Amino acid sequence: MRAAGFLRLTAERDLRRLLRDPWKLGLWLCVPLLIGVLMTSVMGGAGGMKPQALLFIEDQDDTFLSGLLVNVFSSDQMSELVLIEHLDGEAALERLNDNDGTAFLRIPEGFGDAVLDETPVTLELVTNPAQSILPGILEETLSILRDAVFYIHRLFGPQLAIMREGPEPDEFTLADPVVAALSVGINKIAQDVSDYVDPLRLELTTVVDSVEDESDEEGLELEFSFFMFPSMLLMAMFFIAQGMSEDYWQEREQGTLRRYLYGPRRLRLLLGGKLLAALVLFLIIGVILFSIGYAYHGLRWSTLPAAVLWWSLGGLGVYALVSLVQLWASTRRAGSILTNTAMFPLLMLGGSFFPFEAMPDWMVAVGRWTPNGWILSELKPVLMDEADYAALAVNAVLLVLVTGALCWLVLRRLRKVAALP
Amino acid sequence: MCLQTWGGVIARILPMSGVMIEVADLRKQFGDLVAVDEVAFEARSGEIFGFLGPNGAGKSTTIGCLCGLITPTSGRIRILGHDVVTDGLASREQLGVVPQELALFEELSATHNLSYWGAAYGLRGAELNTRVLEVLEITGLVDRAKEPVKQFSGGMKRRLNLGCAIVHKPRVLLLDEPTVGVDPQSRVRLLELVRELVADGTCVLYTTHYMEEAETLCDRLAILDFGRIIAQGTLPELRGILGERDILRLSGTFAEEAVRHALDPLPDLEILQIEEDGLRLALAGASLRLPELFQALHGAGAEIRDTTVSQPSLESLFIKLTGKELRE
Ligand SMILES: Nc1ncnc2c1ncn2[C@@H]1O[C@H](COP(=O)(O)OP(=O)(O)O)[C@@H](O)[C@H]1O
Ligand SMILES: [Mg+2]
Repeated sequence: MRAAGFLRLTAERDLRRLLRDPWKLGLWLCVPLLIGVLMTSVMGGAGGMKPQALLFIEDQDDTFLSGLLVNVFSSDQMSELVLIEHLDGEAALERLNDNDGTAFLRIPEGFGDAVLDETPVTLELVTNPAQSILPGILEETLSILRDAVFYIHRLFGPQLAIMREGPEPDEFTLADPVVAALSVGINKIAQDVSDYVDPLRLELTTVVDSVEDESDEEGLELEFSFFMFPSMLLMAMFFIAQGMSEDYWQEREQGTLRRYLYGPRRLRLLLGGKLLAALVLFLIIGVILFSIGYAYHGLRWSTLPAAVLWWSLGGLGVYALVSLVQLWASTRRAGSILTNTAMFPLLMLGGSFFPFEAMPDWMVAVGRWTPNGWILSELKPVLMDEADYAALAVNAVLLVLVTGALCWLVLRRLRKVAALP
Repeated sequence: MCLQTWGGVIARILPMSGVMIEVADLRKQFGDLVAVDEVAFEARSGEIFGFLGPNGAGKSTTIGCLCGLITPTSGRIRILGHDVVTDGLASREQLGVVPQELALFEELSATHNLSYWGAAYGLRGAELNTRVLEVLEITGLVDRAKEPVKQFSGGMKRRLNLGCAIVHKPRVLLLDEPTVGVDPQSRVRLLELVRELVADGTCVLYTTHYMEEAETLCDRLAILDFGRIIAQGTLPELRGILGERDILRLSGTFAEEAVRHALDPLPDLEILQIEEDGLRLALAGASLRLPELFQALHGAGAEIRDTTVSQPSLESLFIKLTGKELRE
């Protein structure tokens, strides 16, 4: 009884701490929401509102790599969200002061070399304090890029180095063998990568076709944005789970994690409290997000409790999984890189970025075996009111068991991490 | 059941004799490094037991073993009769720990921090609220009780860090260098607080590397170096190791060999430390013997710029025992 009381207190405390930082919460919700809205509008679904960030860039480096970075923001998908203007620092800051623009990014001279040489380099992002959500998105994108640079360097390192050297001084072009090596190297990787991310495979026609078949039977008016809706929820789930799992490092850094070891309560009560906090948060956010989606798409409200419950249970499982990955790392930074790297392929494959309906069959076959793919596949029938609830219950029990096993592992790691000097 | 009964009996008898912390033959090894070795001491109710030693002496490791954070390599520790290894939970219930590093929820207010830890120790409802107010009062944080801790100054955080350890009125309080990096005002307040707690019968184990703190605060002391207790006792007892002698400190230029040679024939004089620019001696009636000393040192080619005569201090004792100064 006393243990249960303490569990509740711990959960309460964690939720209270979370509320002290409402921006974090807002970002978890808004990033998936915006990506969803964006995807929908790109796919020609119910478009409409398109918040656009205005980003000033001063590229003092002006190398191949800095160009690559700028290109990320001006790429097809990002350009829907971000408008780029090249400006020097002073002018940019002035415009930000006048509340004209979202942020200013300065790529310092020597950025390209620093990335290749793996020496520290600082990208400076000045955000407009008058805007709140858009600068957050830019920051998030940059931090993802920062981690990506690390991996790109490992994948493309040799090719990038050759590009930096450029042509021999007395020649106009690169020597033939160099070009051959380069193109073979890059082509191969590009080929590999394009298999996964070829945007042509996301054509809309197939989507609308398959949707209409089902929607006829259901009598529900379904469109692309409907398929994007559960995907967005899954994305939000991952963002929330990842954000909450960072709290282990937070608690470690502020020393409170250790206090449990010399306090009168067992560490498993802390974990229990954190799980409870996560569950409550998932339930609350779930009710809000699902209600919006249900209202927007005109779904059957009687299925809402089951949908929210299944989503929240799934969120708890994902939270346990991400926590384990966090604690597996030995530092906060490593934890963040690890979870990000684990998260993005999962989101891609598991139908959370692009709905399954827009993915090639083989990829869907693989994607259904990802945790989010599983949660998504069981969620959709509920939304469409054609779920087999007995099967869903079995799945739920399975999910709880898996979550329990993960928690057991988390607890073991937590003990180690808490005791680290 | 049997074990528990005995633990309970011992736990009830021990406080009567006043022994709250019992450490016997404690040893902790990290790989090849022996951080703590052959440490043994007892601390009683209403007593401040000091652990004095330089950085790396093994103070935090000892505290870690006492509060169950570190498993000892060997040895036995009892808190109010409860073995910290086999009966960890019971022993930890009696403990308040003030760690060397802060351990606070930065986003939460002082009140929330205190009431969370109070609840962790089983306080509830009105009792908890009263106690939280009391602790806010004695740590001088009432005015700022509702603010998030991250807005606090270093000294305030230190005080709250102590507060979190005493909400549940522990009978044994472990403090690990609580005054490091604290402004003088907060420091005075902290030390006062510790004295008040002890007056109420709490047993305090206080580690520090500040000599003055150990001298003014502690009833009994253990001096620690390289993981071992090199001296232990009350302040007068420890001073007695140096005898009824004054400490004479000379600064100037000294050649070790020549100085030793010159001072050797003088009776009742001990060289505690010789360095190129300083000399430290222990001798009775120092001021009367200055002419004699100056003559001898002059003969050894030494140049004297400054002289200080003082009562024996812990610092001199530490130098005598280890041949080095107690500095970081
Ligand atoms: N977890 C650990 N792993 C390895 N060595 C440690 C660990 N903790 C402490 N030490 C070492 O043990 C010795 C004593 O450290 P500590 O107890 O922290 O000293 P103090 O608190 O007196 O400054 C030091 O040499 C320190 O480097
Ligand atoms: Mg220490």
